[in-house]
Amino acid sequence: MHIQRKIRIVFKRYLLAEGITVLLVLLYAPLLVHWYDGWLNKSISLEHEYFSHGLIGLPYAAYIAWMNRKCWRSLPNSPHPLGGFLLVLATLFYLSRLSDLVNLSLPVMLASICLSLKGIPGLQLQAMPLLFVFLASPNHIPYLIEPYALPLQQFIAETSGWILIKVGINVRVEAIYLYVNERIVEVAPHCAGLKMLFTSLYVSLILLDWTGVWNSRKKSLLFLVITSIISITSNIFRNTLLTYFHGTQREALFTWLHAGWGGDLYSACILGLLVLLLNGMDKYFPSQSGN
Amino acid sequence: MKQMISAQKLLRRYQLSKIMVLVFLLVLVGAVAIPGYATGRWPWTNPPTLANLKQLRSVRQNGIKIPEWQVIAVQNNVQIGTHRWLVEEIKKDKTIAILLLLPQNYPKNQPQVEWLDIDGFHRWQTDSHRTLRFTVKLAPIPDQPPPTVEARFFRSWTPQQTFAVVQWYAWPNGGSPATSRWFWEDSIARLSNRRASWVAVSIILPIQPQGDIKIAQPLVESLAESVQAKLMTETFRFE
Repeated sequence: MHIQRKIRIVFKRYLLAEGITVLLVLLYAPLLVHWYDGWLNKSISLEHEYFSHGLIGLPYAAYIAWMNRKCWRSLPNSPHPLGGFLLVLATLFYLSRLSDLVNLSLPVMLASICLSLKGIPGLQLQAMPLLFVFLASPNHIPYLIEPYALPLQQFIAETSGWILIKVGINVRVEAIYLYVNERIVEVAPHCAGLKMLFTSLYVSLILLDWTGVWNSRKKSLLFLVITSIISITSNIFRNTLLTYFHGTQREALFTWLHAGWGGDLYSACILGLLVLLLNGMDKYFPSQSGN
Repeated sequence: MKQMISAQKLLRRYQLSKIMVLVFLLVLVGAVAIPGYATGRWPWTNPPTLANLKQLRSVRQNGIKIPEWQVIAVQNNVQIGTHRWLVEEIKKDKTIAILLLLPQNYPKNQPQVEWLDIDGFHRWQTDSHRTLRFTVKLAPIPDQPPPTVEARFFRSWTPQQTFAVVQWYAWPNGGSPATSRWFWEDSIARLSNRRASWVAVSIILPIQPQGDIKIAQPLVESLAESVQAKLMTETFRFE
């Protein structure tokens, strides 16, 4: 009788809580390895690479969730029924074999566990890490919105053409094609800068969360808007450079900026610019408090 | 006393909720993770394969034969945009039509911006865009409506010539010019461990300079129907 009670206590205290963590790791570690492999080695698909901001987003989400642990423990244990619903949903997603749904099952599963253990306050506490995991779960939305990027592609082609003409290069623009010295550059959907835009916005969210500027809604919105403008402008400039390199037969430079590490460096510089921008904003509007 | 009971109730509810989470996670571990660790095969690393890859490759190499139409010339590996298409010149009576085909090449291959690629290749102007809808009359399968295809239909011209053009992505039980339609079709097929393979079809029919494409519509529609029917009976048959 005595032993039985002891076993029950051990079971309740350790196995239940630690069991959930162990099972989660068993279920999702292979999936995360697969995600990281796809991001680092570009081995899955272009759509998957749209979510490569998860490389830093997921560790960051884990970090803030871990920092919340004291708060989490102090919350009352009050399960919310929605947790059960999301639990079933996440299970079905995981079993579905459809990569998008399997990927989506991770944030849904994590949210369901928050709700099942600590109810709505638990979900609210972990809202930011859950958001970062959700926005880093690869899916095919980029593929589905690509056909609608055509006006943006045309705009980029027109503007790049305009800049090159100003610089004194003979360019003709037809829809999304730039003709320089009888050579063609196509502003493909992948060149429309959607990936860079998504990455910039995701990194901005991390920066806002990290610096606490998040609390000022006006400032956050302003920062996100400027981020989008920087991202789109820098992409137009990059396309202009690519057209220039291709049109003037500087193939090595073209390849370097198009598919080589030049492109990555360019992106890194833009992201660095965001850090400077936020710092600058903090300097020039320090007292603008949130509402 | 009352408070204590409710606190106990709450604790029991909490334990129950925790156990429920554990049970669901255990089911997943048993159903997916243990087989996954044992075999090294995970659902996300092993998507369903294309059962008819051989048939698709044959279209890419040799094209298709349309009943009542005579094949004049076949050219494979014609570079249009970033893809290599099959170009077929076909003839019926005195009418000549060009058939461009791009079959799915490997399991991860998705339709992308083929119509833009073709516009860029021909460098033509277009107008009179409309949607063509046709059903394919094959031996009917019980309890299933005949497959319906939507296609984009428009006029295009270069300084030299005017054309009526029909374009769509064909798949086993239908077709549409929108990549998103194919995506959902393929997703539904994947749920039952199959795939919806696709062939991009573009029919180009020379017409009178600045002629109305309405006059050409019956002919291109019947040709489009024959192409879809041929693909369904030969290329998509093994799905």
